[in-house]
Amino acid sequence: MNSEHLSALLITIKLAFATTLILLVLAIPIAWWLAWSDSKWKPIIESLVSLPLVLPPTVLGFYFLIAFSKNSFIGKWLEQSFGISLVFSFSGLLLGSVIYSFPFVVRPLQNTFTAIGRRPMEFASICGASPRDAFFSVLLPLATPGIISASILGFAHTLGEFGVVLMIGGSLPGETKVLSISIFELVEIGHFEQAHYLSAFLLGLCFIMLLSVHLLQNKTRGGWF
Amino acid sequence: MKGLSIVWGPSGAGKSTFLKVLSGLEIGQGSLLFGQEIWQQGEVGLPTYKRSMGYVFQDGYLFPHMNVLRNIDYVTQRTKSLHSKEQKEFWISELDLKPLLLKKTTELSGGERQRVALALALVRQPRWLLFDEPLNAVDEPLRYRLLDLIRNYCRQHSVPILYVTHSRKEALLFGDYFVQINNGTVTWTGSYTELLSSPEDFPLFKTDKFSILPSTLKEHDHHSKVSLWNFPGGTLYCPLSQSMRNEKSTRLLIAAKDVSVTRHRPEESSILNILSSEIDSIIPHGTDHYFLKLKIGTSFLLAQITYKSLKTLQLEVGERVYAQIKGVALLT
Repeated sequence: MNSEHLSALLITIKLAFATTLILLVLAIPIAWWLAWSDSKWKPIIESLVSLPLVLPPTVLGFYFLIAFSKNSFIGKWLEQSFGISLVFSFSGLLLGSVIYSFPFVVRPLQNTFTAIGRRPMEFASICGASPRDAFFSVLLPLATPGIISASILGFAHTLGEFGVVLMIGGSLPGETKVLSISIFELVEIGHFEQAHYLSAFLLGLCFIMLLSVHLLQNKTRGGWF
Repeated sequence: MKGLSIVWGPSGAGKSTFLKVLSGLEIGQGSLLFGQEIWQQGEVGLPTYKRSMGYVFQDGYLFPHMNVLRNIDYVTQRTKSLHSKEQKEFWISELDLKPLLLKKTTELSGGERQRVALALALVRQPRWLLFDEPLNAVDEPLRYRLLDLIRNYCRQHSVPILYVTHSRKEALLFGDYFVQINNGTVTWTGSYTELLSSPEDFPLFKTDKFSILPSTLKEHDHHSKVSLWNFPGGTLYCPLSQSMRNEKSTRLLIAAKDVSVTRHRPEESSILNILSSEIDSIIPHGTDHYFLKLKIGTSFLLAQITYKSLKTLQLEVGERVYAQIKGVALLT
């Protein structure tokens, strides 16, 4: 593994970590809302959240480019006010990943919360716990297996991203070039041996992560899918 | 509202919903006052955790991620009281929870769960207790012992109890007040004193009518295998086997069907309980039956007789008759 591949690996892991962290903060409240809401907006929000499951990554990437390019309204505004450019940059990559991996975190969390039900929170309230107190003392401990599963899935899915990354990140070494793109480029120029190493590494890593999700599910008996 | 109020009604009548609205878990219509405190007014309500009450669900729900002791501690840690430690010790010993403390809540039997759930509700030192069939999984002698214990504690500390039950026995034995709910509305309310003075109006007894006689133990006659119970107006014999549970006082339940009347005191009858009484009123029941409401001392007893008997004996209000009681059921 040469230094370019090593930096691609580091970026990949950095991206996956950051994406998972942001996703957890966003997804827990949204999943809780989706689990219990009777709102007429719920089917719409659910569909929006699930969209990345079926949409070609190129479609997402295309709209992302249009929205944030230097010629667009938002892109211009971000550039002038904050000096941020989301196209072909790590922050852009991060935003794209968050959107693209969103359902992989929200869905399992929503199922976890539905399986837990309202009773634990109701009972905490009866025992004198405020909603905030009950969230930390009852809901989080009960949801921990589900949260861990959701995190692993979000992390693994970000590792495996290709289309969105290619569209909005370009392939800037040390900035936006991730492992999946490195492999693509190695295959294109015929360096099969190196492609083998990196592919086998990703394959092993993803398998181990999925295995841990399923082991965790077996242990807690409840299903998240 | 003081004492123990029985909430009664068929399944699906809204008993559990009633309790949920009172606790704030569900939003009802109108206003809710607890003493001087506003608990709900229109759409705005005091959150559940600020309403000082204990609530026991039917299935004895407990936190699944903590053992029994940590479940109890969860409540004591959130109770702002100087006595929470003593209260904890007190209820652990009274409800006999010592052997369960380190068990997982998923390992408990139904009856054990309910006992722990009771402890959780009580260690909070609530100002109001809501019980949704809290003891239906506890075996009978223990169930009544626990109910007695809780009722006495709540009387001492003036904590009212709202008690949902399906068991007529539980209701009659422990109720101070009675609330009947049907299709989501309160259809009848009454007190224990009303039950004693006009048992004929009591809706808990649908077609069968019963009378209740509050009684205290006079003595166990081991030689004749009966026990003697004093009630306001006389003494009743009861088979000894029924009264071996050391109660000093109880409510005796007598079915109107088991009471017949004669004009003259029968000689050499197999019936143990024959009491002199005065006919207080005659109440028609169905097409061919009547209830005689009999006054014995300050107590009332219902007798169910046929139209034919009423005519043959030419019974009138104010006359004296002898009531023969075929069966006396000790409620405890």
